[in-house]
Amino acid sequence: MNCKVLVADDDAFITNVVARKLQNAGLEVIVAVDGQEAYERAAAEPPDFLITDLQMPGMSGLELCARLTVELPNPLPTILLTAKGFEIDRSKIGSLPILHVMTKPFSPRELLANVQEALGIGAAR
Amino acid sequence: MLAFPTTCSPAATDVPEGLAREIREHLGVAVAFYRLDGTPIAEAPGQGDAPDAGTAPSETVTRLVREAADANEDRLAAGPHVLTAAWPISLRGQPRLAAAVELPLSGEGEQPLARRLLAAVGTAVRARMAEADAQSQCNSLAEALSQSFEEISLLHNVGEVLRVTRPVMGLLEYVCEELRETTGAEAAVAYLPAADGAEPEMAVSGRLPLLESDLPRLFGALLDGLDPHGTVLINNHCQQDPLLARFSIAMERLVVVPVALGERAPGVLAAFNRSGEEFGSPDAKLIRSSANASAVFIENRRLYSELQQMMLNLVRALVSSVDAKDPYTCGHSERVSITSRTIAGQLALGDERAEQAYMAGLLHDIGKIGTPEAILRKEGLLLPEERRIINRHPEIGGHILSGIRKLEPVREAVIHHHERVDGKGYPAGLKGEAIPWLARIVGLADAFDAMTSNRPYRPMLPLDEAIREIKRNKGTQFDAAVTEAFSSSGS
Repeated sequence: MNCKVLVADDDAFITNVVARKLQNAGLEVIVAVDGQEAYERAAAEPPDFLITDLQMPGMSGLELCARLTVELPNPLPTILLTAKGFEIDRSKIGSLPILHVMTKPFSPRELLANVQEALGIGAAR
Repeated sequence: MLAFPTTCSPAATDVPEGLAREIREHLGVAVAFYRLDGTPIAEAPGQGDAPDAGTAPSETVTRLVREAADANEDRLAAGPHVLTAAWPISLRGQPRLAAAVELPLSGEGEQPLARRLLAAVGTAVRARMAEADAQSQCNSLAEALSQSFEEISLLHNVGEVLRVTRPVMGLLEYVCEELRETTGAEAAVAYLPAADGAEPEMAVSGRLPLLESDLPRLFGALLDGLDPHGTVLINNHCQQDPLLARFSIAMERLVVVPVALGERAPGVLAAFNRSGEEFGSPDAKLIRSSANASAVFIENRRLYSELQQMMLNLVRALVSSVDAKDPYTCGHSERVSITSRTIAGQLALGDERAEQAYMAGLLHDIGKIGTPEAILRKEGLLLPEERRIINRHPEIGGHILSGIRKLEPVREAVIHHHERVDGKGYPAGLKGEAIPWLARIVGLADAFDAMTSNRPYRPMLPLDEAIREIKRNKGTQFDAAVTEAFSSSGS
């Protein structure tokens, strides 16, 4: 029942905001500062949900999602965060389990609602 | 009532949970925490297992804590059987609290070791307090940042939603919904007072603490005589205000922001009640920004509709000057415009195109301004030369309307409303789909109205006969789809 969410972003502001929002709603949060770290943490212990920035040094959010989709036994539902103006090519998402693409600055409330909806947890708003 | 409360967070004297226990377990020393005046800080729940929980501090400790706090220096008192230490603790450069320890000694010989131990404890306590304070600062920054994100995304979304072609209330409902969610208020309200005979409009999100029907009176009472551009009302103790308490016993807190609307009486954006934190200037600022964005939108929308009305009136004036020249066509343009709009509606072309059809119907004969009255008013058959002159009216109309970008589709319809789908019309002899869609609609509506009116050269046809005549010419004079739409419109 204790759902684990992996949050990957090289921007500490974002990870802080997202982690707090999710933790306040009773979710367990693991923070990774780049794609590589996120990949390693997910590989060691698969989370229930992934929130990742698109643009990260080294492994991008899309690459991270693609690798995990291939390597993990179950598809990992994902929300992709992107900086404003950096529109993402829908075709690149393809069959990846990306549920939402949220443009920064996003509403943390909306992000939480999306995660809760995807995990089937009652929204505690 | 008008004051912005300065909601400053209280001094961070929170001792992190479990800190006393942690030190006791690791260093075997019982630390207690005190305010700067020497009173003990109640331990957070879960720390009640500290050995000295509930017992009053000794006189020595109280004295030492006060001394340490006053001097902002560590204090140590050595008795024969006890060593007492007090450390003032500064956070962010300000003395905030003190920690103290009484360490029992079994003999004088333990003193040097005990002193070193206490020094280590003091360092550890300070380090952990600083860390906890940094963490709590970090948390409140993240909290503030999160709120800013909500606010930015609210304003951003409101900006996205602002389209002049949207109805005002749709926007205000959206703004209320978002404001309520973002501020955590129990209810948010947008209110536009009646203007120019229009009814007052109201959008509500959430559960209001008072009757909706009382809102106009409440806002009226609150905003009476205040400057709609600069005023924000915040009240976190409504029940203490006799005026407000009269409205509802359930109204605790409110923020009311006027929405300045040009010459119109100001509207209001308001939030009601919030459990937890009081409303403050950040809430007011957010509501104010939303109010400003909404006001610009409402004002633009009003100007837009005024502009549209003005344009329509100008067109009508122009058209009536044609009708005045030609007594037989009196009311003809208005009827053609209505029929054209009905056909466009039947073809499900959308509101914008239906309005274009209406406009094209109104303007289709505008070129007759350039046709000599003698020809327009002539009874009996026209000579070929006269026919040639009158047939120039679509092109003259096209000239009159040239250069008005917004009317370009209308202009095309005016030029081609006498074309026939079999190519035997004028002025260009266009065929079928080559004739602009709007011209095909107006062409039929025009022919139908001509058939059902008296003309100098023939009497009017009965309605059913005219409809039969139209259907008979489907595919030759008239576009098939337009004819279908016309005959199914039941006109």
